[in-house]
Amino acid sequence: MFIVLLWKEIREHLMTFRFAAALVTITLLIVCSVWFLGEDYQRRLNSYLQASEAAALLEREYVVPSEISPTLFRPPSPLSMFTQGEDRRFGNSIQIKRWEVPREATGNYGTGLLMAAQAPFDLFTIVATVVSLFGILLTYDAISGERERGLLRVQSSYGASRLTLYSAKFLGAAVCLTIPIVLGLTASLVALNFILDIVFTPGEWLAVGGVAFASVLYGTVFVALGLGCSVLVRRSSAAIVLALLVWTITVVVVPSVAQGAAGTLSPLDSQFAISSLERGTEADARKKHEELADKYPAYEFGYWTSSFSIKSERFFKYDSWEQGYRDAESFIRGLELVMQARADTIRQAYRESEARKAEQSETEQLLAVFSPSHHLRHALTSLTSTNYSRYEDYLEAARRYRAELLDNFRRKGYFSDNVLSFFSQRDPEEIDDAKYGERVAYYRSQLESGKRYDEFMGPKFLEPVSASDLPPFEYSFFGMDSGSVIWPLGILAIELALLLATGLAVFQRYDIR
Amino acid sequence: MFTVARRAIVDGISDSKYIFLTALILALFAANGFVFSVSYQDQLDDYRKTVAENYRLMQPACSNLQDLAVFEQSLKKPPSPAAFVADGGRLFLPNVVLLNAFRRWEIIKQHAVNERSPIQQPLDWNFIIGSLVTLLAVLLSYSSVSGEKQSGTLRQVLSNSLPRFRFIIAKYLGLMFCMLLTLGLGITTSLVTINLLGGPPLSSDMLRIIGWAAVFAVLIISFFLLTGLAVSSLTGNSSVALVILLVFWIFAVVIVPGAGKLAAEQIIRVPSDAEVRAEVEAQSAAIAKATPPEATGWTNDPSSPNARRIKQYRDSLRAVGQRIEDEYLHTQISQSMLAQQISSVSPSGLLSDSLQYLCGTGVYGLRKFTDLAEEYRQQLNRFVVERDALDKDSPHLVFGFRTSIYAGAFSSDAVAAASVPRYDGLWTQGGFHGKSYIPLWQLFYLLLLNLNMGLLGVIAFARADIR
Amino acid sequence: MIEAIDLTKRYEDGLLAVDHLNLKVEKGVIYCLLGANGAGKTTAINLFLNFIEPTAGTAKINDIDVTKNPLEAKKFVSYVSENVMLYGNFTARQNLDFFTKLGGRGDMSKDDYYDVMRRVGLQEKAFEQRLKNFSKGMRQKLGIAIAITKNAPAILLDEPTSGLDPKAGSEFMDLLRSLKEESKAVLMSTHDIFRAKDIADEVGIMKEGNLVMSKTRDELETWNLEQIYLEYMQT
Repeated sequence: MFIVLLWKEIREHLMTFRFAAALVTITLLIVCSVWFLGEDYQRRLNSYLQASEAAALLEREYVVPSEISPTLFRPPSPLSMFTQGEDRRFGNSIQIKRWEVPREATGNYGTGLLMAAQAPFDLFTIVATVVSLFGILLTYDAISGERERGLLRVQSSYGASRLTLYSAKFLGAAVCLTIPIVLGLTASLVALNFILDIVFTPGEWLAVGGVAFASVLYGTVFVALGLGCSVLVRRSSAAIVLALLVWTITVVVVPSVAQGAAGTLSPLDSQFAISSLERGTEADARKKHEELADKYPAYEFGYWTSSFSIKSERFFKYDSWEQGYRDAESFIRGLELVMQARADTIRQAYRESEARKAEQSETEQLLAVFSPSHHLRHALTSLTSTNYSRYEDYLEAARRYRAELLDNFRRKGYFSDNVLSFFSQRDPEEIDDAKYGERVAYYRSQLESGKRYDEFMGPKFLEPVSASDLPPFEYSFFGMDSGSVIWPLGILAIELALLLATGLAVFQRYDIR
Repeated sequence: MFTVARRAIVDGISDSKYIFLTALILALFAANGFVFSVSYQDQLDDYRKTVAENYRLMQPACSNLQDLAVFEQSLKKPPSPAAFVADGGRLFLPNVVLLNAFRRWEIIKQHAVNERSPIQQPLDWNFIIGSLVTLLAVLLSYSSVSGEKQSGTLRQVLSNSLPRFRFIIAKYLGLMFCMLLTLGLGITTSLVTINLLGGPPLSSDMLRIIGWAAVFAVLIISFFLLTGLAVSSLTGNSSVALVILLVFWIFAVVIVPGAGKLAAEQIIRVPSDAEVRAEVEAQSAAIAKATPPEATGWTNDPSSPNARRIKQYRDSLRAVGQRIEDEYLHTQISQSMLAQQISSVSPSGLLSDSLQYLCGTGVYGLRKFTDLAEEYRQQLNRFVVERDALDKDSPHLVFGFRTSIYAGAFSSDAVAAASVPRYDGLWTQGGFHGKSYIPLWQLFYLLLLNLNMGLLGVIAFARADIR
Repeated sequence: MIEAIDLTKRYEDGLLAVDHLNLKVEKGVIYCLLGANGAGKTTAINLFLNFIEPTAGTAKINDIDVTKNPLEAKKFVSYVSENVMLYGNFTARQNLDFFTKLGGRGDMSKDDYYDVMRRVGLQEKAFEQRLKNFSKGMRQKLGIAIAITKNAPAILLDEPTSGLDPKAGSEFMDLLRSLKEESKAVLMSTHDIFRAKDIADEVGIMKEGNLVMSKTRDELETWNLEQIYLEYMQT
C-alpha cells in the first residue's frame, strides 16, 4: 500500500510544471555557480602557489636572524566552490614579526575588497533560497488540494491509514526535491573534474557527500513545512501563504535580525578604545627605548628593520670590551622585555575583544536557532572548511609558529650571542665554543686596522640562518571539525522531525471531506 | 471601473496574507529605524573622537614643518545619515585612510564588527523594499486574474459592459493602492522611529533622497504587480502562476544580483595583492636601473650635490607606487560598479544600485571617500610645500617616506595648528556626499519595464480565455 | 431579443462545438436548450456573452451584434453561471451591491437589496452572511438576484438547477416565471427534461453542436418530451 502510494506521489510530481521548473532552475543554478567559483578557486590556488614559492625563495636567502620575517600563506579551501563562506573574506597572509603577535591576516588572491565585503553567491545561497522555496511549492497543496478534489476520501476508502498517506506524501516530495540537487551536484562535479581538472582527496569527497546530504536534509525540512501548512489550513491558497510567511521569516528575516539583535544584546568594544591602547603602548615603549638609548648610547635599534646595531664612533669610547659587552647585553635584554611586554599587552586586549565577539556569536546562534538556513550555513561552511574557525586555526597556527621561531632563536642565542660574541675580552683560544673564536679574532683585527664597524660586519661572518631554524607551518588545505557539522545537521533533523510529527498529529484528526 | 478597483482594494486589504506581511514589513521598518538610530549615534561619536584624536596628535608636529609634512594622519569616513535607506555593506568596507602630505599609505577597515558573524544583508530600506515589499506584490497579484477565472467571478464581472482593459487597469489600481498603503506606512514608521530615537534630522538633502527612494520603490512595486497580473492572465491557473512568479521573484532578488557579481569578476580581473607588490617592485627596479647608482643610495647631508638626485629618485619611486596602488583601487571599484550595473537588469538590483548612489554609500561612498582623501592630501601637500618655499633656509628636500626624513631636509618652521587644512571640512554638513540627481537612464529603464509589462498584461488579459 | 443566426464555433483543435445554430427568444419567452454534456449548450451561451468569438454566423442581443458591439450588447443581458461562486469573503448584500453597481445602477439602497433578496427567497439572516458559508441553492438564488437588479431584458442561465434539491429547484422555477411575467427573454441551458417541460415556452435539443429539434409548448403538449429526447439522443 505504502509503495503504491509513494510511487503515485513521485509520478504525479514528475509530471507537474512546478517540478519541471524546480529541476531546470536548481540544476542550472548549481552547475553555473559551482563552475564559476571553481574557476575562481583555480585562479586563487595558482596565486597561492606562486606566492608560497616566492616566499620560499626569499626564505632561502635569509642569512641574518634579523632578516627573518617569513610570510605564512593561507591556502584557498579546495571545496570553496561549493560554499565560499569566509574563504575570500579574510586575508591570506601573515608576516611574522618578532615583536607583534599575529592578530589578523591581510592580502587576497585577487578578490576585490568590495566583492569580499558582500554576501557571496554560491551553492549555499541557492539551496537556502531556491531549494527551500521549491520544497514548499511541492507540498503546500498536498493535503488541502487532494481534499478539495475529493481524492483523500477515495484513498482512505481503500483502507490507507493516515500515517501511510502522510509519509507517502512526504517521501514522494522529498525524493523529487532530491533529484535536481543530486543532478546539479553530479553535473558540476563532472565539469570540475573533466574540464577544470580539479581533483579531490578521499576526505574531500566525503565532505562533498556531506554537502549533498546537508542540502537534501535542508530541503526536506521545507517539504515537511509545506506539508504541515497543507494540513493546518483547509484551503490551498491559504496554505501557501502561511508556508511562504514562515519561509520569509526563517530564511530571509531571522538571520539578519538575529545578528542585529545580538549586536544590541552583547555589544562590542569600540574600535577607538583598542587603537588608543595601541598608540598608548607604543608611546610608552618608545619612551622606554629612549631611556635605554640614553643609558647605552653606543647601541641602536631600528624599529622598521627590527635590527640591532652598534654606533661605532660611540662604541670605541669604551675602555674595555667587557664593559661594552655588558652594556650591549643590558640594552638588548631591556629592549626585548619592553617590546615583548607591549606585544603581550596588545594581545591581551585583543583576546578580551575576541572573547566578547565570541560571546556575541553565541547570542546570535541562540537567536537564530529557528532559522534552518542558519544551520545549513553552519554545516556547509564546516564541511567545506570555509568557516571562521578555520581562519582562527590559521591565526593560531601562525602564533604557534612565531612562538616556536622565537624559541629556536633563544635556544640558539641568536639575539645575543651572535652579535655579542666578539665582545668577549678573553683570548680567542680561551673561548669555549670554538666556532666563535675565529670570528672574534677577525673582528678585532678589522677594528684595530681602522675599519668602520658597518664596513666589515658582513653576512659571511655571521652564523647563517639555516632552514632548520624555521619551524614547520602546520596548516593544511583542508580540515573539518566533525562536531561543527553534526551539531547543525542534528538541529535540522530535529526541526524536520518536529514538523513531521506535528503535521501527522494534526492530520490524524483531519476532516478529509 | 472604480467599482472594480474599490472592490480590489477591499479584497486586498482584508486578505490575511496582506495583513500578516504588512505587519511584518512594518515591524522591519521599525527595527530598521531603531538599529540605525542607535548605531548612527555610536558611529558619530567614534568619528568625532577619531577626528579630535587625529588633530591632538598633530599638534606637536606643528612645531616643525618637516614633522608635519610626514605626520601620518588617520582620516575616517563620517557616518552617512542616509544609511538607513541604503547601507551598502558599510561594516565590511574600509573606512579609514592613512596618509601624510606626500603619500597615501593604506586604506583599512576600522569597525566594531564581529568577524565571526557571516556577512548578512543589512536591514535597510533597500532590503525591505527590494525583497519583502516586492514579495507582497507578487503574492497579492498572482491570483488576481487566474483566481477569479477559476472561481467563475471573472465571467460574472465580464458579462457586464466593462471593457477588458478597464478591468485589468482597475485591478492594477486597486492593488497599487494596497501596496502604496503598506509602503507609506512603512516609510512613516521608519522615519518616526528615527526621529523619536534621536537620529539625524531631516535635512533637505535627506528629504530629496527619501523622495527619490519612494519614486523608485513605487516603480518597482508597480512592475512586480504588473508582472503578477500579466502572468495571472497568461496562465489562467493560480498555482502555475504562483510558481512562475516566485521563480521570477527569486531571480530578480537573489539570482541576478549574484550572477552580476560572478560575471563582473570574470570580466574585470582584480590582481592579487602579491601581483600588485610584484608590479611595484618591478617598476621600481626599472627606475633604479635607469638611475645612476649614487642617486639610489642615501645621504645625511642635505647640502650635498647628490641629495637632490636622491630626492628625485625617491619621488619617482613614490609616484610609481602610488600610481599602481591607485590603479589597483580603481580596478576593484570598477569591478564592483560593473557588478551593480549588471545586476541592474533586475529591478531589485537597480533599486540597490540607485539607492546607494543617492545615499553615497557602498561603492559610491568608498569612491567618494578615497577621492576626497586624495583631494585633502593635495591640499595639505600644497600647504606644506608653500610654507616650505617661504623659508629661505630650507633645502626643500623632503622625500615623503615615513622614516626617510633626516634633520634639515625641509623647513623646520613652526606653523599655527589652526592654519593647517582639516579634512572634515571637505565633507558636507550632512556627512555624506550623495549625488544631487539620479542617473536618468535608471528611471527610464524602470518606466520602460513598467510600460512593457503593463502592455503585456493588458494584451494577455484582452486575449485570455475566461471560461 | 436573443437571436442566433447560423452561429458556428469550431475550436482550434478542429472540434465543431456549435454548428449553424438558429434560434430566437422573444420577450416574455422562456427558451430551454436541452442536450447531453458536451452538446454545445455552454459554448452557445459563451458565444452570446462574447466570451468566445464565433467562427461564422451572428449572435445578437436586442438586435445588437454581440461580436461587433459587445459592450453595448452586454448592457441588455444578465448572466447566471452554472456554479455561482462570487466573492466568498463578501456578504450576500456586498456581492449584490458590487454587481449592481457594475451593471451601471447606483440608485439602490440597502432596503432595495433586501427586497430583492427576499424576492428570490433568501433567508433574512443570510443577507449579511459571507458567501463562503452558503449552500449551492442559496448561491443560485443570489445569482438570480444579481440578474434581477441588473434589470436587463435578456437573461442567460447556464444549467441553473444542476445540483439543486427539488424544493430549491422548484423555487428557482417560480422565480423564472415571475421574470417571464416581467417580459424578460430567458435562455436557459439544462439537461433536466422535467423542469424544461414544466417551465419552457420553447424547447430546443442540441446534439453534437446541432439544434436537432425545436418546438413550442403547444407543439409539445401532445408529444412525450422524454421519449423525443431519448430518441434524439440515440440517433
